[in-house]
Amino acid sequence: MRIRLGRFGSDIKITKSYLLAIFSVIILFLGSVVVWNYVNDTAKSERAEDFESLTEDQINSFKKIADEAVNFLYDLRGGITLGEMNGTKWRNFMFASGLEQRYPGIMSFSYEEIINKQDETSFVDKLKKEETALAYSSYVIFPSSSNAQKYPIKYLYTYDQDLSLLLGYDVGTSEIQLAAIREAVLNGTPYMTTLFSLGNVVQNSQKSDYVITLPVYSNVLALELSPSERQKFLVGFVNVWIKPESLFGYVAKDNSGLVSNLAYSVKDGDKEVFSYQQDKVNLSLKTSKEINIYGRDFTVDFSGVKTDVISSLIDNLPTYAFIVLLLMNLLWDLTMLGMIVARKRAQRAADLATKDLIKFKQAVDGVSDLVIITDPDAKILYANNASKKITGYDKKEIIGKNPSLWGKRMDTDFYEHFWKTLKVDKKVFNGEVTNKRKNGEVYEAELSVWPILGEKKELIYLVGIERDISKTKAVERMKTEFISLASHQLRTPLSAVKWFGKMLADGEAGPLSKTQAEYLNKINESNEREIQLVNSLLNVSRIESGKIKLSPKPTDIRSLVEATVSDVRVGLNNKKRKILVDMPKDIPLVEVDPDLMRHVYMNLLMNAVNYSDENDSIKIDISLKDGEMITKISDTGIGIPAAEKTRIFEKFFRGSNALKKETDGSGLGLYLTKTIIESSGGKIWFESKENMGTTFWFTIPIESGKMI
Amino acid sequence: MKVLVVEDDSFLVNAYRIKFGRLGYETKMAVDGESALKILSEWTPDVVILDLVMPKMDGYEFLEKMRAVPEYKNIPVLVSTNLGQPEDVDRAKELGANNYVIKGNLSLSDLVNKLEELIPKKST
Repeated sequence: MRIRLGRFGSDIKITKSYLLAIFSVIILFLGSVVVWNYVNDTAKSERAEDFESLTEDQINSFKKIADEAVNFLYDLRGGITLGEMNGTKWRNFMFASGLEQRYPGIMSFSYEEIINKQDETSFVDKLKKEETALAYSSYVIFPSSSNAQKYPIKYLYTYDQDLSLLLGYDVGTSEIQLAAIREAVLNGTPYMTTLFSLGNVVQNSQKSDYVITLPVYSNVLALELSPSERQKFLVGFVNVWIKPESLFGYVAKDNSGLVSNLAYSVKDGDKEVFSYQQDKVNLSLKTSKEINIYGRDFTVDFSGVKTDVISSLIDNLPTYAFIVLLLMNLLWDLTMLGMIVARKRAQRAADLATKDLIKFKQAVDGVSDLVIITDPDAKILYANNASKKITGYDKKEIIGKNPSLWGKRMDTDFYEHFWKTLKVDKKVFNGEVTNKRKNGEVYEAELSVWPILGEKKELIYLVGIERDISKTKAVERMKTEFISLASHQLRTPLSAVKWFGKMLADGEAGPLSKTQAEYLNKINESNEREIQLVNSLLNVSRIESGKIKLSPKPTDIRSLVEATVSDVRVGLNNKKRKILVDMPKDIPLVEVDPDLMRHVYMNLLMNAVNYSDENDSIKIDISLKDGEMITKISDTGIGIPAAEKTRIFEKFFRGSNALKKETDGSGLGLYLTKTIIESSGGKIWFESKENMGTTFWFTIPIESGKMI
Repeated sequence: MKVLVVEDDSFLVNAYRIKFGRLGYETKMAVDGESALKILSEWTPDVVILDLVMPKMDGYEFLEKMRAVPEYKNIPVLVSTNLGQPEDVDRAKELGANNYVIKGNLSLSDLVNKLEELIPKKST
């Protein structure tokens, strides 16, 4: 298993991703600015176009009124040229024109005839005679002047009270009128006056009118001539009178929808002649337009707002775009930020994990046991450093191979059990194996193999750990041999002492005096203690080297206990104790090691004897319960000091009060007893009160003894 | 009764000699397996008392060799030793020992009882 460590690579990656994120944020920002600019410009130009066409329409509407009036002037001129005009015909003409319907009351029309000064009286008389309208009854040409030619208004059509007073007015007395007449005659076209103030003629009148004038000729053919030539045929002028508010404001008043968002001011030269503005309008748009109406130049200054739906949408588009772009930018920035934070976190976690992995790998590489990881078919994927030390094979030789390279020396039963444990039971396999190193040396190993399972409990890997226990085994064997030999060598002289001592005591060498017998008894007792001590030490050594072996067999506990008790009674010598046994008659055969079980009873009984007083009673109670045999051994002796209760099963430990009472004792008895009981699948515990006595309990399973 | 004692420890040999002499046994002593086999070829005992740890040829080897000879096959053998581990007992019994006692754990009188258990009841 190779662990790749891309530390530097990932550092570069993260820097790259930072730059990329920052770059993308900048690009998006710049892009947003461009888009917003474009939208803004587009909106502006759209609005400007809208405004432009709006104002153009407005200008055209002014012209249209003037044009319609002038068209009618041409009609009038035709009427005058072609036939006899009189007041009645004049009025009928007016009614027939339809202008009255379209522009009710905003236009006035007049006809001025050119007369010579000497013809003035005859002209007036004739007119008074011919015209029936009341106005003509007092017809007079005014103001009086010495001009050789006069231009009195002969026919007039108007609703304007002030203007109606101008019948008979000699327009030739007005420089304004004359200037227009000159131009009109010169070009043969309609021409507009500057603003003519009625106050010049009619006292107190505040009104003023523009007058468009058109020359009238006596013969239609005159129109074919050049303007200078046609002057010979000039007989008069038809005029339309129109007030600035009518010319420029009529449309505003009438079609409020069209111009509701507009304000404008019309200037004739420097003088404002008309202005229009609605209330409460936010006029942010401006434009200025020149317009020529029949030779007269006007400047119209427009101001505008956007309130109709489309223009408001267009106007707000930059705002919407700004918000959308801002949100996009924010969103992107947050995303990038989130990405960077997440990456950093992931990087940190990965770094930590990598560090952990490195640590693990170093640890596994370095341990002194062989560690391998294989696939489910035992093909080796990883081997640590110790694998070479233990098997003698290089890692190169091991990887990809099967552990049978150095193993496979066990019998088929072993391998059947091995694979069943791992593949079927999917449990850890523990065992001892004999393997062979590359150099042919055979060694013993402790083997543990773990199945590593996937999500579906399928076998993915096997992790094997092998510990070379050859040396341990050798040491163990040496130890065992030493123990055997030592115990043999120690016991042999003791045996000779025992045998001779016993023969002496039995009187086989002749009778002994009382004192001799007493001394001999001391020798024998002491020797016996020595033998027991050696036996105990032997047992302890065997336990510690794991060599204590139970040889369980169905055992009759009743007779075992009876025999042990009788041995104890014999051993009491001059100590006076009562030993009371209470056990059921039908104790089944119990699967235990009889020698060791005897040792347990002997030990607990001897303790009870040794640590109690004269004439005390010692009780053994055996009972059966829940598949267990429970033995209770109680005395009324010195007890175990409370402070030492936790230590009494310790090896070589002896209670402080026990030491005073009986100097004899190895401190091994309870240690051995506990070990034997637990090895047999039982438990041991006790209750004790100092100077009141001690009770031990231990259990032994009846069904089956546990074997080491 | 004829007893062959195979024992290398002189104190114990003495003890056997005294005890068995007092009991009137006909006793021969061998200090190792080799000399025991030699004695066997000339003299057939009723029972053999066999120590395990001995120089030259130890008790196990003696047992193995003795049991391989048809004439000696049925001579009872009481292993009397101070090797007391279960492996030792098992091994000795597998090789044909009839009984096994640990010297330190019993008196010579007890040993004689064990010995007599091995002899088929017949007049001595």
